[in-house]
Amino acid sequence: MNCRNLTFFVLAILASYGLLLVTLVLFLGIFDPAFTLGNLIQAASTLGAGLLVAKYVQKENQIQFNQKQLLVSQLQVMSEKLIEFHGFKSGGPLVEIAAALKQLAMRAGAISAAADELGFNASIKNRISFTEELSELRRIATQTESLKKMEAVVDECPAVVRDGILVLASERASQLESHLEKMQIKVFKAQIAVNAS
Amino acid sequence: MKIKVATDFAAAPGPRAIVEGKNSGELFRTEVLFPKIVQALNTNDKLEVDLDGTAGYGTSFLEESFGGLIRENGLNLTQIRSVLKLISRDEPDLLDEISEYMTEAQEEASRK
Repeated sequence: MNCRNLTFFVLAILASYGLLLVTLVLFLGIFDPAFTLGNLIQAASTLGAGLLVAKYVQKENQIQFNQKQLLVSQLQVMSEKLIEFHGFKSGGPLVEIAAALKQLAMRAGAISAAADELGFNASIKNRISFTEELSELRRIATQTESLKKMEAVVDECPAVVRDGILVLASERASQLESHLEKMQIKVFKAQIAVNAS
Repeated sequence: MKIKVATDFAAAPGPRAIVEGKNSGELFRTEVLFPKIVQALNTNDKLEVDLDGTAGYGTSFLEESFGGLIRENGLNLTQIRSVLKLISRDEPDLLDEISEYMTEAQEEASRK
């Protein structure tokens, strides 16, 4: 039970206590000659205050739930874009690959910015940061040998481009698939962490 | 001085080398970036390179463009850093990646 839930629980008890008090006062008031209007007002105030605060905390909980849902849905979009990226596992038009990488990077940036604005803690922010993974993905998916190395070892290149079409050698293609899988697992774990926070 | 890659070079940057396809990093470096860097060095001016607004960049385009200034054009990292200012609001992490490519190129050049 987290702090917010505990507060909600305590306030719910207070409201119940207020309700009980009002009932008792009304019940005893019928028989007790010492029953005053002051007793009734006091009991009603306790009940009112408890209900108001409980309502406020409930609203706060709803806002926090919505914020989590928002972040989880953005992470889901990221996961779908990673699945789409599998289409480039053996290569493809370099411009399209670069565009897909940019979309992923912009989505990741938007997720991090949203987490900042919504006040998520450092642990969550760390879990939803994909800076290193995206940098590595860009390298695996698009790095070709430098001009000098290209001339020397053209037959052994892990990635070659001809007329703007990138072709990945099988080793690099496997590396790409494995890295995409790793990223999808990280997205999944991030979704769980956001939900549990 | 300013270069906006999307309008001054290409909206869809391509591969590393000219022989690999159009809008390559090699072409960008030789035709656009290097001449402007030299001009900035000669006039003690700053050169702003705005990377935003393109379809996206592959590693090799960026490495060839910026690392190539050291490896192919013989500039050194200190010279480049004294005049070059990179802008990337769309993908801020590109700035660190480019810095890494230039540092690696400088280390490789220093070993030779």
